[in-house]
Formats: sequence, C-alpha cells, structure tokens
Amino acid sequence: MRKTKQTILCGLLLCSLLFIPSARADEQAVLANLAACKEFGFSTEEDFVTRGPLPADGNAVISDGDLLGPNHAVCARNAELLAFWKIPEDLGLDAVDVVDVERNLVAFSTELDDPGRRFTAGDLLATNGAAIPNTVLLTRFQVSHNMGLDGLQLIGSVSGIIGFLNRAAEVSRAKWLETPDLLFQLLIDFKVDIWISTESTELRAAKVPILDGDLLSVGSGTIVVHQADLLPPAVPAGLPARGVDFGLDAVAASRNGDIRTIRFSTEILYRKTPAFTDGDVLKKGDGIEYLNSVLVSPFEPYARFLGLDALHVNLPATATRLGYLPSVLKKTP
Amino acid sequence: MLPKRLSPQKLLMLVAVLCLCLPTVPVASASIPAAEEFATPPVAACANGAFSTEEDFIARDIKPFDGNLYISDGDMLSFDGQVCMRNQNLTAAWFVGAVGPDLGLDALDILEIGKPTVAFSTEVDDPGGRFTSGDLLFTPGWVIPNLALVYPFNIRWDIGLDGVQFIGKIDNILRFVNTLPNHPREQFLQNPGMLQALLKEYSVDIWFTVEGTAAIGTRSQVLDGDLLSAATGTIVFSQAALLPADVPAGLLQRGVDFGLDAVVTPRDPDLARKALFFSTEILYQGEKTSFTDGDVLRLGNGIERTNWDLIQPFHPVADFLGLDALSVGNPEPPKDPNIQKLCGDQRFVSEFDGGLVPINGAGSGLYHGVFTDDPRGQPCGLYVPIDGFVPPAAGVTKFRVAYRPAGTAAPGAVDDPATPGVRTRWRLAVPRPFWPFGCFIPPEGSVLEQLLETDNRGWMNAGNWFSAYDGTLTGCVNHNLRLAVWDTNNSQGLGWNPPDPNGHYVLWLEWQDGGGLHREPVEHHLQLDNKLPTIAPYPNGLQVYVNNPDGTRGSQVVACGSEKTGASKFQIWGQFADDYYSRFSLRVVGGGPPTAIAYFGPHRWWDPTDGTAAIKNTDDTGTTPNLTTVQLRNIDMAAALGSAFTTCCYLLDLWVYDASIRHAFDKVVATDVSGDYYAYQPITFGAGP
Repeated sequence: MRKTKQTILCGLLLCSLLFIPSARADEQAVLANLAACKEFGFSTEEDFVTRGPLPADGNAVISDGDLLGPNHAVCARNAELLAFWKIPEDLGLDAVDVVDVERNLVAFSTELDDPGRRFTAGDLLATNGAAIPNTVLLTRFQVSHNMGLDGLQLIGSVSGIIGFLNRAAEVSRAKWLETPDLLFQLLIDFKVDIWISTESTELRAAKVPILDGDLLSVGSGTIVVHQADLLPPAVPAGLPARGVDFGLDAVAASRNGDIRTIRFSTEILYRKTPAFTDGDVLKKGDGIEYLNSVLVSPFEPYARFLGLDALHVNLPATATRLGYLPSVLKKTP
Repeated sequence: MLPKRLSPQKLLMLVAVLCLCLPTVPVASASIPAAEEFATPPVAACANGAFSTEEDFIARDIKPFDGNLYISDGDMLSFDGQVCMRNQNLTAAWFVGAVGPDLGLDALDILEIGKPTVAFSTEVDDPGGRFTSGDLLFTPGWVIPNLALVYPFNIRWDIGLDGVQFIGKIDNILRFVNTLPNHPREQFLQNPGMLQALLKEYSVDIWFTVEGTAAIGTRSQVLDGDLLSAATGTIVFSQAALLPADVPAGLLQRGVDFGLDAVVTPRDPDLARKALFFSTEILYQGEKTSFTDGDVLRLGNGIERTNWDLIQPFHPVADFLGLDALSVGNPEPPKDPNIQKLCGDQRFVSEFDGGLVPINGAGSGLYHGVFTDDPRGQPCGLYVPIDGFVPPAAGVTKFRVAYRPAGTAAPGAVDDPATPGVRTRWRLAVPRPFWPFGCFIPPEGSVLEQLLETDNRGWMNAGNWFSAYDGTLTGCVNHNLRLAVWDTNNSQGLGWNPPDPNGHYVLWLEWQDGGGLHREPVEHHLQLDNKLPTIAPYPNGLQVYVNNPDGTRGSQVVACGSEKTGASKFQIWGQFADDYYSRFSLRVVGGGPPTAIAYFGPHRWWDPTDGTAAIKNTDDTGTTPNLTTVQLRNIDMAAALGSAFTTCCYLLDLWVYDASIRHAFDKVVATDVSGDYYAYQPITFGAGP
C-alpha cells in the first residue's frame, strides 16, 4: 500500500513537472517559424546567400548556425536558438533535435563556446536554458574531458523529454559538475536517453574505445551503433578492422530508439561504390537517402553542396523509407 | 565436450572474469602500445612539411616510429608516409609524466625541426582548461589565446582557429616565439593588444583563419573563409580572392563561404601573397572547376595536390581522408640525386600532374605549369630533355633515368633487368686543333668527334659525365649536358624510343654509389604525344561559304572559284583532329595592292568562341563533332583588308597546331621547337566588292 502511494506520488510529481513552465521560460525565444522544422530540420557546414524567397527577417544570408527546414524555411536563426543566453554572436549549430514546436523546445549544440563561458561547444543545450556539460554526458564512458558534441538524438516519449529538459534547465552548470549522477537519475525518472556522437576519439581513457563515428548512449554508457555498423559492408568503415573512421556528423532516429530508423551524415566523403558525400543524408547500412543538393536546392544557393552539420527528422517508430520527405523537401528546377 | 579438469562452474567463473577484463584490454591495433609510448618521434621526417587528416584511419605497409598503424586525425604526418609526431607528442608539455588525450590537430606551422618548435591548434579544449581549441599553441608549452589573435578585428570571443602561417624571417619568428615564456596566457587575456605590439616589434605576422564568422554584411565582416593578419588586423585574402572567378566564393556578392581549413605559404610576405596554398571546408563541383575539401588548392588557380596524393603514402583503405592542417617546411638542399625538370629547362616536375608522386602514385603526366594556359595540360614529344640533381661529391658512380608504362607496378629492385632506361648520346666539345684554337663541336662522323653515351640500359658513367660537364674530360666545358634526352619518336633512328611514342610513362632516377644501387623515393609521370594534327583532305578540310545577311550559310566558294555577288562576309568551315589539339589560325592574303594580309586567331580550344560570337565547334581534340566539317568562324574581308579588298584572287591559309611540347636535339643542345608543329591547308578563291 505504501509502495503504491509512493508510486502515485512520484507519478503526480512527474506529471506536474510537465505543466510547470521552466523557471526562465520568459527568456525563451519566440521561434516563430519553428513549426516549419517539425518534421525535418538541418544546418549546413558553411554560410551562404539564398536566392530563394527572402527569409522573414529580410536577411538573405544563411548562417551555418541557422536551423533550416524544408521548402527554403529558416526555422530559427542562431541567435533565436541562443536567445535564452542573449548571445548575439553566431556560434554555429553542430547538432539538433527539435523536440516540441508548440513549446519552442529545441535541443542542440554549438560549434563555438559561449563567450560568457556559461557553456562550451560540446555541451547539450536546449532553448529553455538547459545546458548539460559535455563531461557529464560522458560520465558513464569514464571520460573526463570535453570530446565535443557532433550529433544528437533524444530517445523517449516527447512528454518525457520535455519533462527532462525542463528539469535540466533548473540545474546550474556547477551543480551538474558537482553531481553528474543527477543526469542519470533524471534520465531514469523521465525514461529518456540521449544518443550522441562526439567530435574526437578516445581510445584509452574511456570505458570502451570511442570513435567520433560511433553513436553513443549517454544513459547506458554504451555504444548504440558502432561506426562499422552504420555504413554498408562495402564501405571500409570502422577501426581498426575495416580501416577508416568516417565520423558521425549528424544523426536522427525515431524516439523509440529503433536503430533501424537511424539517419546520419559523415565527416568525410567516400568515392568508391557506394559513393556518398559528407553532406548527404544516409540511412543506416543502406547508403544515401537524400543528396545534399536535395536539402539545399530550395534555397537556390550558388553552389549545389553546402555540407550537413546537424539533422533532425521526425521519424516514425518503425523502419521505413521516408516516403513523406519528397513532399516536404521542395524540388526546384 | 569440455575438458574434465575444468568444471562448468569454473568455466562460468572464467568467462565472467574474462568479461570483466575485456573492457580494460585495449584493442590491439587501435591504441598506442604501452611499450612504445615514449618512443622518440622522427620529427625531422616532416622537415619538408606535414599535414593532418579529418578522420582516423589504419595505415598499411608503413612502419610508424611507435609501431602503431592507427593514425589519428591529431597526428602530424609527413608527405612520404611517416608519422612525425603523435598528437600526444605535440601536447606533451601540458601532460608531463603522462600520456595526454588526443585533442586533434586543426592548424599547423612547423617553425623549427631541431628542438622542435611547432605552432598548432587542437580540435577540442584542454581538459585542464589551460587552453582552448581556438588558441595558438607551441610545443614547448606556450599559448597565445584566440582572443589575442582576433582582438584587432574587434572580435571579443573565442571564434576558433582553423589554419595558421607565420610570416617573416624565421630568425625573427623564433625570437618572437622565444619571448612567449615571458607572456603567459593570462597576460594576453588581460592585455590582448599586446600581441599586435609584439608582432610589430619582431617584424613578424601570424596569418590565420577562424572557425566562425563575425559581423556578416558589415564593413567589419570576418568569414571563416578569409585569411586574417594578426599583426595588421586586416584580411590578407578574402574568401572571394582565394578561389577562381567561376567558383561562387565570398559573401555577400558571390554567394557561398567555402571556408578556409588549412593554409600554407612561404614565409616571405611578398612571396606568400603569390604562392598561397589552402584547403576549404566544403567541396565544390562546378562545370569548369571542381575540388574537394581535402585537396590542396592554389591561390585562385585550381588543385595543387589531391587529397589522395597526400594520403597515398599511408596506403589507407579509403582514397579520401580530408585535410585539416598543413605546413610546408624549409627543406634542406637535397642530398640524394633526383629528377627536377622534364621537357626542357623551364618545366619542373612538380608542375606536371603526377610529376612528383610517391612510388606507384597517380597522375596524367600533363604539364600544368606557368608556361601554359591549356587547362587540360600539355604532353611532350619528339626529344624530351630530363634534368636534375646529381651531387658531384656524393660518390655516384653511375646513374640512369628508368621508365615503365603508367599503370604497371614499380619494379621491386633497382636496375631491374626488365626495366629500360633512357639512352642518350652526347657530342662533346673538344679543343680545336688549329688556329684560332679554343673549343668546338666537331662535325658528326669527324675523326675529332668525341661522344659520351649511356650503355644499352641507360646507365651513364657519372665520372665521365661530371668531367665532361666541368671540362676536365676533354679540356672543354659541356654545360649543355643534361641527365638524359629521350628520343621518344625514334628521330635518330637508333631505336632508343619507348614502345609507344604516344604513351603515358613513369620515370625515375636510379644511381649507384659506394652504398650500392638506389632509386628516387618518388616518380614522375609523363604523357608523350608524337601524333601531329591532321586536316581532312580536300574538299572537307577547309571550305569557304558566303555568309548570308541573316547569318545562314550561303553558296560555297569552291577552290579556284569566284564569288561574284559582291559579298565580303564569308563563313570558313573546316575539319581537323589531334589527340592533343591546341589551336587554329587563319590568314587571308591578296587584293590590290597585293600587300594586304589579314590574320584571324589563334583560337585556342579552351577559348569561349572561335572568333565569332556564339560559334564554338572545337574542343581539345579538334573540330567537333569528330569527322565532320564544321563552321570555324566568319571573316569580313572588307573590314580586314580595307581598301585592298578588290576583285581579286585570294589565298586563305589554315594552320592547326599541336599542344605537345617538343624539342629538337642535335646531340649537343635540346632546343624548344614546340610552336613548329602544325598541319596546314590552303585554298584560293576569287572575290571582290
């Protein structure tokens, strides 16, 4: 009976967290066009000028820190993503997961550190002000240094993720560093996991050798998918056996954590069969799903390739081809 | 069936213990072996320069100094397949007594091999917070914070560091660097303007690139594709200036920032502005220009080295690994013999595609140097002079230029019996036996003639060659001597030509000294072409038509025929071909007074038109489509000849030129006769106003 009461109390507490606005929600950005990235969002490697329809803010320059969507949508400028911290500088966009467009909630990482030193380029950030230090994310890998954050996918129910990020927004950086286990308690409480890829490789000072081409589970401290398993067998991916680490620059998967749904991009291209570039959206073990040119052509840029640094895809729970994407990715002549 | 002495319980325990231990066992070849962790890195192997890749890989068929074939994207690699320093060697000053983490390698400038002193930046921050990935680091343990580098640009945040190049006299640079122990990082952070003052004091500069962008669209704009000067606070080269005009590089005008990932120049500031090499962050595939983000690009002018050229000596499984950092050293003068020039004294092997590649490296063998505008490159034909460096004091007893068809593997040994060498016969200068004495080259066949030639396998006696060169052999100097002159088309009738006079070959130098037989560690691709252009026989090769007022083709004016309608505008049609075609020219002669000459062209195959707007019917193999007589261009005889255009007979000449670099050779001097090879066809016709 007592156990039942405790369970009910915990459940009520968790539910209530969903409805408690973040303490600093008033500082959150409006992100007026975020809905355009509900299904699909990405960032490029480099800045460019769009020759497509002028973005709503009248600025034709697209930064590699902006969140872009289908149909030449600029879903969020870099400054909008960083509005909580009131950072005018463009810090880039290295990883992204659009969690809930109604709540303007986006999880992401930057290319550069916060000039105010409130977070680093390897930390997991959210538009509600959450900032989880990179070393805390890597706690269960027993890595004590910042390895960067190159790809990101939050796993769990959307409500659980919202609850987790809202709770995370209340934790200061110092608190995270003092009590890194708090992260894992929250992940358990909200039944959430964080899948990430890193910028660098750590072969020795880690529980398991980590390649920057591996997909890691923050919650379990394990490798979800090895580099070798991301790419088709014909590609010499994976170290040391197959010979090359192609990196993992952007990643997306269904929220239920079905690894068969994984989409990703690499850090370097491959020219033999099956050839791909580091800007293409690849399907786990199955080659190219979308060429980089398909992603960027709605912006009518002067170049057909602009790279791919961050990727969000609202993937269904089961492994299917993204039949709906052609309809949301506007084709240009 | 389990052995009886191992009970199932014990087996279970053993498995459990193994499982517990497994995570602590390093992957055999995926970590640096503990026994070799403190092996001395061969830094001198990077005296000629170094680079790092974007990603980790496993090397094959090399022997790194620490025995580990795992190559990290943080390691400093040489151009000839050696690991000069592991990432941990670069950062050792910050991790004394321990092996530090691999922090990546993003920017690189090797300042001094001896100590060594290497300037570099990492991909991720120092775990101890002593530097960021945007700071400029020095192997002795010194740091210039990013904020000090970008301070003159009014950038007040760490914007990353992607490429670095020190400019100035190396002595001044080292004096500047040696002051850094007196200026700890905190001092620069408190007074970031101090860096600019120090740089000016020592007359040096730091050219660098950043990861981020600032103030886009304003006059203070800084792109991650711009090359910046820390001393002057100015943009040395904007993104737009780095890449050719057909690449849409630069914001806001041209539309894309391709980034600037690695950069290298000579240290002399004037030379640096002319000879700058770099790589981009993203690839480009245009109609005219294409490159990847792993290629080394020339300032405004295409690919200097492909990514494969760089990584090939490591024999990786993939042919692309990216390029993150690049440095070119101040190499010592060569000690070993080597080939330096092909196809004449002005053309260096490094200017040929594949002209300076590792053994079994790739290339087209076409010349792309400063003496050609041909975007395809030029082959060589007839006699090919080959020259290089054979140090007299090195004890070389004989040398030869060996060759094999491209696409075949290099022989496993020097002086391979199946591998031919270039054979050359020289006529030497000798003392004139009669007044006014002095030296002369005796006529061929003369009893006074003195020859110096290779043996039948191309070996030249080095002692004889040296003494002929400096005059001690005959008493007369022979400074015209080269290592070899290849008779690629059997012009001498001696059969010293290669099997295919139009083939693609790979050449290298072999020599013998007191230590035995040796060969160059590199090779030189060379495409031969001895095929001359051909103009189709009459009547298809050259035709004249009236150009109708609406631009359509009118009636033909056949050879010896007359155009009697008073037309002065004509269409010239032709048909010609060559594997390596270069250009055509036309000439009209005649009229009254009979002194008028009008020239049309030359029209090169890569020109946008052949002299008439919207008409382009030639490509790099002649007229196109092949075997078809096509419109070459229009001529207006009244405009070209002026008052001399009278009713008269006219001669129209067509010259079609070969692209090949050709030399003549009289066994004394090889002379460039490249422009002398063409096909010619005339036609005569009558016309007048």
